[in-house]
Amino acid sequence: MMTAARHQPPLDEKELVDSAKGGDREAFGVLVTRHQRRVWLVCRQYVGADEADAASQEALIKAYTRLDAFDGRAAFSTWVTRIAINTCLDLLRKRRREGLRVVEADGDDHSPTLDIPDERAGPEEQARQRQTISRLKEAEQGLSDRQREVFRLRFYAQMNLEEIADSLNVHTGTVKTLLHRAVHRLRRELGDIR
Amino acid sequence: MSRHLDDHELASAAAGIPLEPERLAHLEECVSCRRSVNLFLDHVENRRRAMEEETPDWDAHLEKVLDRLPYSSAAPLAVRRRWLSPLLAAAATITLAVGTGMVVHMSGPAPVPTPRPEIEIEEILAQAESLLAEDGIPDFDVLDNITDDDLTALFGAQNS
Repeated sequence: MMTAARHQPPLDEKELVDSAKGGDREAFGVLVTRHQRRVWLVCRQYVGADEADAASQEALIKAYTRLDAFDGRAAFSTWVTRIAINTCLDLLRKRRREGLRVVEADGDDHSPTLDIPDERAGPEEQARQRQTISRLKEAEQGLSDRQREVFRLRFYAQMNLEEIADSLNVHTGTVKTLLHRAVHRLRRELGDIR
Repeated sequence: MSRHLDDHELASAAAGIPLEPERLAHLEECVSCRRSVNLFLDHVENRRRAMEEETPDWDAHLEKVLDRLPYSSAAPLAVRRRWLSPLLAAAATITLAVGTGMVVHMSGPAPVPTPRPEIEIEEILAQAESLLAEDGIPDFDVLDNITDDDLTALFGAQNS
């Protein structure tokens, strides 16, 4: 017996966006599958792990409702990352207005799960890793807000320099300067210098 | 072998910022410099891996996003915008007009009353004349019946 061929969403990013603009939820689902990890990791850096789920979902829904504003000049990933950053900043502003604790403002929630070391390492190595993670977290607090933001987007959200520049709407040179200062300072703090 | 990378060059290398070709060549050859860069990157990688532990179940995450999507994407928003824009423009115009009026009223001299059109006065006079023509003014009926000749005869006789 023949079965009806299931609708296959296109694979090309532009075609996916065009289909989603036309209301094809399946096509948007493919875009979400491709970009949700990045969006979540970006949100994680701003609002912390507890709220990253909600913030990233909100950002992706916003992206869907604003697809008509996406003109394809930037990559879809950059565009959706920008929406994620703005969503998180709105959330943080709202929290400040409401007088809530802004412990997550720098994306660091001091959750014990953050200190989970690599399970493949032995006990000594795990203890060492736990210690360095803790020291790194502490050292990040000494960075300026902008340095910390760029550092985290680069290393924890795994964005390249151009993507960070586009997402924050600054020059790549500015990102390089901020990142260089951040790494230079962190290396000093961690005592990694020869 | 050339000199080792300095602090700033090591920071650049760790940050992924391109180095001068000869400095990059040194880094590729020098175990000590590479170890310094990698030590830092290991710390960062440990922290990043710890964050990965917090990531949600991606299938569930996708489901939650799809469940909350409005039933059509940009289209209804665009439709809403089409009727919303003129409405907002009208509201802005009214607000501006009222606001401007209030400002003028509050800060400027008292408004000069608009002169009433002359045609109104003419109309009033015409109405009064027609009324007078229809009804004589009470107690002036006697005057109405006296002619010029009567007056001449009366006053001329008295004067002479």
